[in-house]
Amino acid sequence: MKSIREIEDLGMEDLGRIAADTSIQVPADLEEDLRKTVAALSLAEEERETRRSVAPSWVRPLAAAASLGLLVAAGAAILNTPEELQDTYSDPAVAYAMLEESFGKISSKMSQGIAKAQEAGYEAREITNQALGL
Amino acid sequence: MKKIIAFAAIVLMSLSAFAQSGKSIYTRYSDEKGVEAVYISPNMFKLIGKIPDVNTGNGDVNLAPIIRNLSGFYLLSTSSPRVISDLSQDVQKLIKAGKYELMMEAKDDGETVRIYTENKGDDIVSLVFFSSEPDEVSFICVDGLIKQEELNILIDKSTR
Repeated sequence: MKSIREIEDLGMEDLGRIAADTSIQVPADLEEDLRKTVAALSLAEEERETRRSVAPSWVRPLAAAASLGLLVAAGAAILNTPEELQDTYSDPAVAYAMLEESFGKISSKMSQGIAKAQEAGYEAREITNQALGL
Repeated sequence: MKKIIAFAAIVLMSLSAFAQSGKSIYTRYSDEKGVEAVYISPNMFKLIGKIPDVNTGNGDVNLAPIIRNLSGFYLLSTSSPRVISDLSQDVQKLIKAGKYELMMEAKDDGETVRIYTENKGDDIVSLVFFSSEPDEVSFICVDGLIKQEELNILIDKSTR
């Protein structure tokens, strides 16, 4: 049996000689088989094209929503860009006084929290000692 | 599909424009009616450092080592119910969005105080103080580099 390469290399004269050779028997249903094969190949090609070009129905709305979201986010980013802030106080001494007051408040609350935690610790130790009979 | 993923990635990246910070919260509420706002810039910190007697001060607390490395101080205080609600939500978003850890929470007589810190190694790069009462809230955000031992000294001196 010839390979495809050998068939491709046949010239017109060879093809004519083979066609005229009546001793070569052509299968009876060859034409039908060839028709089915060609139809199957064209159907497969069509399905490949369909899969490539037709996206799921939710893709286009999602793409539109993503584009809109991008535009809104970009606009908001531009509009919400913080301006350069101005110092509240022009006098460093007044600014320092505010810092002192604020840090005093922060450290006061922190020390209160620590004191409460220590108190809770002492109480817990007392309760534990009592429970253990110490 | 690749285009959709690329769009989604771009949208997510652009959402970082909404990222919360002490500065963005201050900018949002500093001009609101009924809000007391204070901002101290890095340049003002430098000027404070040049005040001759800042190291002695009136009390035992010496802030010079702390303020030397600060880059921003933001304070907001309000009694406006609408601003209290919005500001509280924005502070929660700031905490969740950043790398803040709850350092301390204390509740006393209806006042809840929370202190959050963002750390870099042993140092604090951002401190958020949020005090809320039913009719008043205070928000303080300090950005910069605060050494842990300096903050400990500050707390220790306040305890006495």
